[in-house]
Amino acid sequence: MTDDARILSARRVVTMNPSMPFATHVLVRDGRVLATGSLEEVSNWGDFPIDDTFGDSIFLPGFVEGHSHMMAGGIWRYTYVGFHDREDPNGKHWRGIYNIKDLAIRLAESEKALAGSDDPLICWGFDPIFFNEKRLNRHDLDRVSSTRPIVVWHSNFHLMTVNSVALAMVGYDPGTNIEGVLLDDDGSPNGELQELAAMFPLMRRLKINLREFGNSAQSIEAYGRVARRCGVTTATDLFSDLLDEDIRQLNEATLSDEYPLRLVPALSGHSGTPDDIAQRAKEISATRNDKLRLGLVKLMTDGSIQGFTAQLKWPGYYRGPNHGIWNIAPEALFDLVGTLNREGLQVHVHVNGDAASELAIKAFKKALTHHPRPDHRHTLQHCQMADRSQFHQMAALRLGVNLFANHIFFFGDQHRDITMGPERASRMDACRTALDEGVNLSIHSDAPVTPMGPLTVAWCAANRLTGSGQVLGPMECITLDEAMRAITLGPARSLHLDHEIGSIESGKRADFAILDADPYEVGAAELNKINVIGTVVGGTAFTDL
Amino acid sequence: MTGGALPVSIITGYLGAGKTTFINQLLSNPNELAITILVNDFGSISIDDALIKSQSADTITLANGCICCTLGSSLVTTLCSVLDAPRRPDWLIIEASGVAEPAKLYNIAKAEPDLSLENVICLVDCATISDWLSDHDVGSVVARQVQQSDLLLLNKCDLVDEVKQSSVTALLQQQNPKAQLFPTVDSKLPFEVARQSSCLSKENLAQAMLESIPGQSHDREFERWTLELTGVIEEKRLRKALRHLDSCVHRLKGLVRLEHCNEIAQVQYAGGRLKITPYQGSDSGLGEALVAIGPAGHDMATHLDQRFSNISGPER
Repeated sequence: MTDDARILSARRVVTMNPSMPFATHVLVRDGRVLATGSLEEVSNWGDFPIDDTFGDSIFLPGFVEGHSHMMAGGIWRYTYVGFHDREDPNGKHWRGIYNIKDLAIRLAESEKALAGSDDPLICWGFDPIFFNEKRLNRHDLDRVSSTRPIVVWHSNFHLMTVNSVALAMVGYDPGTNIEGVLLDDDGSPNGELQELAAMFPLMRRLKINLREFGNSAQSIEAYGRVARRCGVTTATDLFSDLLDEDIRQLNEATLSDEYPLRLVPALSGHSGTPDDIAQRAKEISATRNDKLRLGLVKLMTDGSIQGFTAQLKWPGYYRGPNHGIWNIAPEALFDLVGTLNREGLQVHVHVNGDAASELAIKAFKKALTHHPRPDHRHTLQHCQMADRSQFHQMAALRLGVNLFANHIFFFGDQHRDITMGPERASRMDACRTALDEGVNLSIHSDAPVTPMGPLTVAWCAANRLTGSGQVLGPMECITLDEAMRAITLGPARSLHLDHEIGSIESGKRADFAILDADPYEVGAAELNKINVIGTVVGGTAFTDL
Repeated sequence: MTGGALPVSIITGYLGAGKTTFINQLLSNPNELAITILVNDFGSISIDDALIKSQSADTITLANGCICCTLGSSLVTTLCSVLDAPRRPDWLIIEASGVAEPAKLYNIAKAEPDLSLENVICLVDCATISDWLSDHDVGSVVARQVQQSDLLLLNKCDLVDEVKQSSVTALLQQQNPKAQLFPTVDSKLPFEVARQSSCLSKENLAQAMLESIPGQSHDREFERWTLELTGVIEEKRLRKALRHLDSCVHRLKGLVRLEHCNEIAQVQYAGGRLKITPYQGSDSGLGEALVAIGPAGHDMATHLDQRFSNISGPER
């Protein structure tokens, strides 16, 4: 076999490895880092070709997204109409939609691309919570088309607004009195459909297949591009059915040298008995390659805070109704966590409200008391409302946490004014407290809920600025260095991969994020302005963005 | 009734109430029906495969949860595949998760024209229900399961004494005065009752009664309301009067003369859907009138009288 070793030069290599924090050159062989240092230092290993392609750029360890969903790739088959600007997997920049007029223009543009006059026009990400005008209704959409069904899916996927053609398809008419089918003053459906029941008949007739977003070869490929654009080289798909067919497809995609992402999908722990789940998790972990790791199990407890479906401790929601839900019965959670822990599996649990995090902590405490296990790396995901006492317990149980820092920017104003009130909103996503209590910290985007982009997440955690530019809870800000760790080594550890990825150091995989500016020069305040040029995954550069 | 729509029953109840045993019991009864069961829960006992084979029934397991986290996709895909199969089953039974609100499931059956909601059966463990109803974490969802059901199966009665059973009965009646209560052990309910509770279920019973007006046999359980109409009615005002009717109105129908066309139209209201269609038949002999039926003791007549107090006079 020919030696593929080469020296990559950079303006600076930020390694996140304390024994060689900064370097200018990385010597790469067999997809791994052989050495970092100055040209002279790495050249002591031998006479290797030097690759200066990225000589003016900055290398960081490839970012690790510890909580996102494959759907972040697949959903782009539909037109984006969200409030915040986003880039699609192909790098096209989509401007945010600030009002109904913007929406009509975007829809009219997308319509041109459709072939048949009755092909459905489906869009996603709509966020009227930010609008200062009347609510979107079918009449607005009828002006775009009176021949094809139009579906405007709201950002939380719990609501959609549709036009009259779509209403007629499912027989929603002035006689309809079905929960979730909203009516005008004159008694006719106004086009807004709330929750799955009201949306189902339309999804069925338009063949909107949610499962496909998260499983098809096309979605896997798009997800890779989404990750590559923001410097992510390892990502989860944190809740998947992982049927045999899915695993075959994942294995095939990740075995390709062209695929730019290491995937760590988590098995849904909600589709069988605890023993079934444990057996399945072990069974699927046998399929593995350099870019695919299986065996992690994800459990869901409550809903979301902005949807008022999170489970909160007293005094509950600040303004607005309490629609708290459990996706799993508390008893069943104890059973599942107990079995999975005993069977040596790793469990990540979705908890948004503090009553949910409390319950999960209790479940882990019981499981780990009955069956102590070293280095289990069970992790609480989101964990947005946990307070110091809960972080203390997490530390005592060696639980990790992956906080949803993006919420501070994307929903922080709403949390302060509506869901939590100023006092509790200030301590949401408490990164500082987590670190002070000694809990392994990761931060995430939950893409597609917010856009994948670790530099933005890190910026959120370090600055805690809301969408309106106010600082929400300055005492919970973390330092630049801590924020950078929370998008590299932190999540790598939470995935049992910190011996392979998360820093640029001898022996680890050659995974880098290539940036146009050095976070340590730019500083925390401007982190989100740094551009990602591409990635290196296993020594292969992916920059054709 | 929605002809050709697939009948759906929802089985709800907290963990350990006996839902799976109930379904196994149902399947162990000889019957000719092709039944499909969607299991939206997991537990230590699973549906007995042998029973399923002997009954040509089909079980599909779902991952439960909410649509925003791709969890709902399992329910959507499965329901679509059941509905769009070349041959639909005769009866679809959905076993809800122990923490699911039945309304979220039965609203699908109400919204989807190809499904027709037969009944919601809630299993209740007589020995534990009062504890669950006051439980800090799940009390509110358990209460909603009781409140959103047509039929409460008071299960495991052998585990409690009479005093306890009657206090539980009172508690459940307080939570849901409209539901029928069946005390039982081992989740036993005669197949005909479970199946026919589609006929027993009040909406359908109400319909059956309406077909045979005047009927006398159920007067103590049901209340009837009649409105004779003499003049023309404006369609808009009729719709307004019938919007968001109280759930005590199980069914309403009749003939009216509409103002804008001066023609007779048929009014049908059931399952939350109102239909006003041109009347095709010959003289019905009914005259122009509206009749409604609902369970006794809920002041349906007062509710409807208020709604129609102003139907043909000047608009207030």
